[in-house]
Amino acid sequence: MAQENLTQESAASDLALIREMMEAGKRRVAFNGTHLIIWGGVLMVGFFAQFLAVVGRLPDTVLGIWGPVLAVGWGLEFFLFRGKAGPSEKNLPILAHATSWLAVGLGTMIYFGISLAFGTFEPKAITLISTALIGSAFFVTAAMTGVKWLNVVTAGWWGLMAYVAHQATFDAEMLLVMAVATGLLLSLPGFLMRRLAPAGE
Amino acid sequence: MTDYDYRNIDDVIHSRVRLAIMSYLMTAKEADFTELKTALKVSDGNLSTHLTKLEGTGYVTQEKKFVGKKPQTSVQMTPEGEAAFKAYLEGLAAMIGPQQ
Repeated sequence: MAQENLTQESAASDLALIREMMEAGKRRVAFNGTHLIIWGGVLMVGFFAQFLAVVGRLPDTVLGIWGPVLAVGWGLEFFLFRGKAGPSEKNLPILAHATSWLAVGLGTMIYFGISLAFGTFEPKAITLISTALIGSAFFVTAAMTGVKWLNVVTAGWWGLMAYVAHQATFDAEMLLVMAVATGLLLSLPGFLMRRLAPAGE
Repeated sequence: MTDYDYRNIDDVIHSRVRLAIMSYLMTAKEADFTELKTALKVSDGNLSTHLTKLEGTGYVTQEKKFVGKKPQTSVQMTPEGEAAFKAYLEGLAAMIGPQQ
């Protein structure tokens, strides 16, 4: 009988295995690292293009820059994830993670669409909205996965939000700051999360 | 030694691979076959055998579906499996005793 082989040493070894596998189960949520890499990359290009527009190197059109950027982002998402299953409602960590990132996309897009339609678009407002939402999404992901370094990324986004909020004006340099931030605080965590994720995801 | 009666330990869970499967599913709740195979570093046949045993006792369910054109086996932990796993953990903790 297996039970007769159970000693305190083997029980401790079993507990170590349990701990290791439970951590691995938690970390599987990290599969969405690819999404972060995609959006970090396209947003970095978008912010840099917007900076060039503001300083007169490109035509100054918000929709002309962000329309193609968003189309590329969603196009890559569709191309890379076509035919793959979405998050299951049975897996709470993945569902919470996916929903929080959906909230980032929807919240930002709703503001972008409505403010453009009514001519009330404010670069500072969309920056505050997106930094607050992205920081919150990382906060949720950190809590659901137990991956503690994600809290540093959360702090980075909320710190950026505080920095933007305290600025009296939203100048061209802020666009460069946002370009760097999306690279460092979206794409880089995306690469690191992919390294944590189980293969096959 | 502790006073814990080791005969209460669940024989189905008390196998290295099945214990690893149950531990993984305890936090992931659901995983596909390939993902489990990678996480556990076991062969298809080995994993399949252990999953069948766990499914036979009602601790997990397996659902075969198609994602696009590819077949995929999704494994989920049942409430009975969750309860059995918690009881197993309590048994282990009792076995080790308060010093750990």
